Amino acid sequence: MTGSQAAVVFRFLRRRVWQVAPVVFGIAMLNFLILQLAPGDVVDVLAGEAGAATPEYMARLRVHFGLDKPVWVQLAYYLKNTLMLDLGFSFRQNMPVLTLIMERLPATLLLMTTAMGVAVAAGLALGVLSARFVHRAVDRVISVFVLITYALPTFWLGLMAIVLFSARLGWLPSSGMTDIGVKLDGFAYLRDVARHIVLPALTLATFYLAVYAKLVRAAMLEYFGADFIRTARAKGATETRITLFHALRNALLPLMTLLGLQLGSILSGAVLVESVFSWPGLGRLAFESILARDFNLLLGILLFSSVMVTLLNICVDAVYALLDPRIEL
Amino acid sequence: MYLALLKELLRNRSAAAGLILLAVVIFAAALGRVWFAGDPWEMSAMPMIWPGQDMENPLGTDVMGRDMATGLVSGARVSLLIGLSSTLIAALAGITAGALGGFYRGWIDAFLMRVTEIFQTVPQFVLAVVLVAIFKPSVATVTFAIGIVSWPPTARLVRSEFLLLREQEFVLAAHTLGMGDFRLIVTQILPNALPPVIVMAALNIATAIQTEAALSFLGLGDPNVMSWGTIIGNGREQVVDAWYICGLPGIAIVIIVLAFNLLGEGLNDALNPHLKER
Repeated sequence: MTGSQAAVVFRFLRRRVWQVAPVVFGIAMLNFLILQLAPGDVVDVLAGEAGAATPEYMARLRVHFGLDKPVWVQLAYYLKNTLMLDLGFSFRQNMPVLTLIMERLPATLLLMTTAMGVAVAAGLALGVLSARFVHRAVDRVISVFVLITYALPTFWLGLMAIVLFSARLGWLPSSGMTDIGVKLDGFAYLRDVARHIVLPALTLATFYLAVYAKLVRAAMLEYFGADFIRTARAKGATETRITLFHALRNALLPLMTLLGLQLGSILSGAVLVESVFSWPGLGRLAFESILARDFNLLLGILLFSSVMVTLLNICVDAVYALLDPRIEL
Repeated sequence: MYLALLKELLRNRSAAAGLILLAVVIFAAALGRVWFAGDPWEMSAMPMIWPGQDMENPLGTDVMGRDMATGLVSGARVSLLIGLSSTLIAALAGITAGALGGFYRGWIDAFLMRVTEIFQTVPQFVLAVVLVAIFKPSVATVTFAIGIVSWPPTARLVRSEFLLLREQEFVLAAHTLGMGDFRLIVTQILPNALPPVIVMAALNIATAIQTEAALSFLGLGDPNVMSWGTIIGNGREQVVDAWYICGLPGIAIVIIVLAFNLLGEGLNDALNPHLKER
């Protein structure tokens, strides 16, 4: 990377961070609002059911949130804590919230990226196929498949996949990220994780696969009528070449836009999929905190995952600029 | 006008399929209310009787010996109720925000758009989970939480429609005649902005039903109400031995979601005929 390119990237990042700042601030305000509106005082809510937390912990929380002070001071406290990434302490897990989240983050990111990779690849393939053979048998079959996949509840699909692929057929493990009780390293470890990720990743990917297939089909059909495609045809490019190099490249752009818009929804999907497959990520952590009524942890996850969505969105924008040279960083 | 729309819908293949599926679900739920009128929580027979094994419980019983058919019928009512009412909340909130932003523009619009952006960034389902968990699960909180997380797309849509429509001549004419802002928005612009909103609402019902199922699957449903998600959540530990306990309510969800998706697509074709060729 040359010096000027680095400068461009730096300027892009600086601008985007300034755009993101008010959103993050707003999300922190939203969290604070939820806490204020909740029944009981903030500490009652955060400490969960009565009797679960020790008086010392409650007192510590009250100081942490400045509860003896007026609301606007409390807000200032809350924003200051959030800004310094101090998300508080989880009483149930006996660990700082941020530590817990950071521990679980890699597993969620791995699941999300794998699922998205599968969804984009398969969605592109199906979309291209149905656009290439529009209104023919292949297109019909894919349309019906997309329609049904679109209606499947993710968590239910996961359960059914466990019944079929791990219980009946015994092909794949149904829970966790690695086999319990065996210590593997190097290549064997990777193989183990790969075996465990198949079912959760495919389950999470299914819905988005349908969405992308539908979108790519529509975009490709639109481009088939465009002037640059006619030019390509006129100069004698084959139909396959036109499909793959001319139409597809342009159809990637709306796909990226949608991907960026759906990051939050993908993370939401991960919560459900992880709780079905006991995948040790953020979603599983959220599920555990619901069961334990550990609301401080739950709010921390909400805040953290929102910030993560904004950061991932910046990455999507960067990829967008790579795909389309007309767009500058 | 409504009759014409209905005719148009019945001619449209996906809308007709959606309406038929929906009618089947509503019919089954209504008939089931008479046939399986019992309490869905009552342990009426041996646990885990498979469907078709015993005609007393035609769809079998769950892990606790509760009748599956009664549970499914109760679930249909809950799903439809929460799906429709949370969509209504989302539509009202979205229309209000979108109309105000699109009509007045300026700082109101800037502010509302920022708020919309925040709600679109936060992972919707996680926010719904937090709201329901903190405000205690009940039909009301679940409905409200789903409504709150699903209004932004409607707001954006209504805003963009308003931005276009407010420059039209008929709006200028009404304004010149001395019509106030409120009447202008409600009687002149809104009716013209509504068709795409109706399409979005139909699709939103489908999403809302899935969200409700997911919430109650995680144990965040109203503890006094038997919904499809509750049945799946209760049966998940035994899913390998008795997959029908999770399977049947899941199929019900797929059917009803499919129905609303098809209906939404059909409405889209009927209300926006210029897009039909896509």
